[in-house]
Amino acid sequence: MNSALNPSKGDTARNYLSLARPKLPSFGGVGGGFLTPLYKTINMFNKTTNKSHIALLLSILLLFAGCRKEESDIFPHTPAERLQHAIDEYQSILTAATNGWQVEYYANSTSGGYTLLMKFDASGLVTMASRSKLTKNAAYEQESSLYEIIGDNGPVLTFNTFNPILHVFSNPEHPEILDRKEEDLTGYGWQGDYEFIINKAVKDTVWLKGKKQGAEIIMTQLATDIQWQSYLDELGDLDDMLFHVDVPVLSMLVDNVPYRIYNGKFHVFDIKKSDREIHQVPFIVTSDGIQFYQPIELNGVVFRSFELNRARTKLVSVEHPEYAIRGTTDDLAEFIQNFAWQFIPELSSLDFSSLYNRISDAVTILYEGEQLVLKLEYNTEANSYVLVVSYVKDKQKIEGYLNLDITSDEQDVLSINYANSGDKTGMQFYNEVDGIDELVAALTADFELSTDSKLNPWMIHCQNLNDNALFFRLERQIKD
Amino acid sequence: MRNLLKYTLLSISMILIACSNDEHFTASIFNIEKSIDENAAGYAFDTWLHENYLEPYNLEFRYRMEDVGSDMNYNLVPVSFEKAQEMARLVKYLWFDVYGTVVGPEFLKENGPRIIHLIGSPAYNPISGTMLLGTAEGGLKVTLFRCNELDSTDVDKMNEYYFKTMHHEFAHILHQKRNYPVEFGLISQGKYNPLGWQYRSPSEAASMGFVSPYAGSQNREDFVEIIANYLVKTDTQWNEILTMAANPGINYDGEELPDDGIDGKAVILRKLEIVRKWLQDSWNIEIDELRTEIIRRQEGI
Repeated sequence: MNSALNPSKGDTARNYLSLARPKLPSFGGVGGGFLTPLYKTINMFNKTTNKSHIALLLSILLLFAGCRKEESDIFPHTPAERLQHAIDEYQSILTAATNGWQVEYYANSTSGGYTLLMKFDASGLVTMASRSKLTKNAAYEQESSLYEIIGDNGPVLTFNTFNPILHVFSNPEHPEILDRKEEDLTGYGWQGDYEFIINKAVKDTVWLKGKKQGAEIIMTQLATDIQWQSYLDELGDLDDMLFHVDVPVLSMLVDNVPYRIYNGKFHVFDIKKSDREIHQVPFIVTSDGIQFYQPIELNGVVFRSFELNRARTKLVSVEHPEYAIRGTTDDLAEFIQNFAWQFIPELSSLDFSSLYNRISDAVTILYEGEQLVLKLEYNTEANSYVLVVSYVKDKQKIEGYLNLDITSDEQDVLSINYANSGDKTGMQFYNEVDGIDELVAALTADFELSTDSKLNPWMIHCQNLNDNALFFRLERQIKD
Repeated sequence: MRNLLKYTLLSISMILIACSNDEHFTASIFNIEKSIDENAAGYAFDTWLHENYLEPYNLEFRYRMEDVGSDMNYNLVPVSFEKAQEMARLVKYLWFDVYGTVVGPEFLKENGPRIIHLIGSPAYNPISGTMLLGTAEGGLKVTLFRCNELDSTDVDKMNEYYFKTMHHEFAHILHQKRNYPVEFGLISQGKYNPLGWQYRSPSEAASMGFVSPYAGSQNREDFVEIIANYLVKTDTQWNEILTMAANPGINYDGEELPDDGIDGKAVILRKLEIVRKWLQDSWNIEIDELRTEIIRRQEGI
């Protein structure tokens, strides 16, 4: 095929060789100026028979001889045939996984990673599932759509009809849920890829690269005994426990160098050594912890995978188990005082939830107020921990507080005492609103605090130490 | 010199031979013989598209997203398979079959686009705060955006986002083939604002003699917006535009604008007359017949 495409290659070489023979002067005219010196050189050989000149000539001849020979095709098939062959091969690898694939998806190299499961059917149908903040109602979601492997710049796996599981990362519309920095992302979204160059594929692993954004994505074959929903729920529960909201601030000590770790809600950590040295590190939640998108070096030590310890208090480095990511404190009684917490009646014991309902009704009757919120937080004006009572009337928030004395003598145990004071509105509520005095009395007790993971306590269970039936739950408030 | 002439003649004749040897054009530019895999997930729909678009109209209805086939500068997502099917049926019912009934089945085969490409999301331009709803490239390809938001129970929204867009883009194709009178462009000369049209409210645009804010961007957009709006809007909706046009404009801040001396209603009606005549003379289309048919079908959805 090459000779047909390039017929002049061999001919040119042959013509050029004939020029070096002694009969060369007959060419005269055009080109003579260039050829004459060579002819002279050849004549010179006869006189001197200089060995080095012979060697030179031979090497020139050998050089030309090299040009004579056509290179044989490196590949036995045409590029189009090879592309089709690769497409067929990838197609059969993808469809051979009977329980599908686990895809470690990154929209781009600065966005967080999410686990998607995909099963490819020979008919061109792909079934996907996921469970994260990005899925419908943050629950397990499964949808089917179409896929193709097309011949683009090499074989490209494209998901060319909409599937919410994957295209949520690319959708420029309704990107509110993805807005990790509270910016308006309308028109942008996360700009994730849904066309992937297949770099390599073997029976149980496929290496993809996003076509526009270039993120590296790995697909691994899912074992046949794994049930999709329970597997994703397990991952989702861990994700929820650790990253339902941004982490308060975590820390990792690497040989005397402290690193502070922020964010995480959308699977991207900001790891700070100082205000100048900040690493933005995307990661993915694995079944036993987290894994960074790429290994990163902190104070000369390279990290990538971390495992949550049994007590769920730290993420221990898999590569270097002597290092771990920890929360700022293991004492929830201390932790609780640094944040504002909202009372969640529906997750509290009956006594507390019915008290909430009574107060809510009273606020509606007395003040025509709606959306009753009860919060615990530190108030700088009162220089005290307080119970905040607020409601909304005519789109305006009315708020008052009652002072609470808070002490802790034991880890995770909080003693609350009503201080018989508050601001003017708070005292008015105390005197006028049915149920508030009882609530304050119920809060005046010793509570044992617990949470799912002390790495990022965002929901705290407060159990009355003297009465097992009495408990309430508090959810951490994220500052605006 | 003689040789040169000889070789020149020879090569010309060879070129001619090459031309005369050309294969006959097939009925379609697409491979309509291409078999659709019976086991493919999209088989039923692909077959339907083949029978309802490719064979009768020589049109490829593309619902599978092709990034290279769209503008790579936008952040887009594909249309869902379900919405693609809904859209394909609606486009046929409210666009192709309308022309088929009123103008004749050959009309769209000759003048219609060759490709319709559906995209799931709008094409946002976040910098100018606008979104693209459709494009018509060189009279051959019409791209419809935002198809994932299709709600076939809301005719007004469907008109705004899709059908007005289709008639708009198709009108572009028609005037690219047969020019509209220069006189049209003179009516609102100096009032067009290609970069700032989106800041005019519908009322402000109407009072200036534009049926929509976008009509005030350029005169060719003005021309096709008249057609598109007149075709899809009911009498009540069309009269609302004319009423707005007859009154002083109110901007987005709710302020009444000073009298600009333009009788917006008269301007719009004058433009409509030019459109009506052009469609009649150049295309033998009676716009009111088309409109009646479209509105009749819309009511039947």
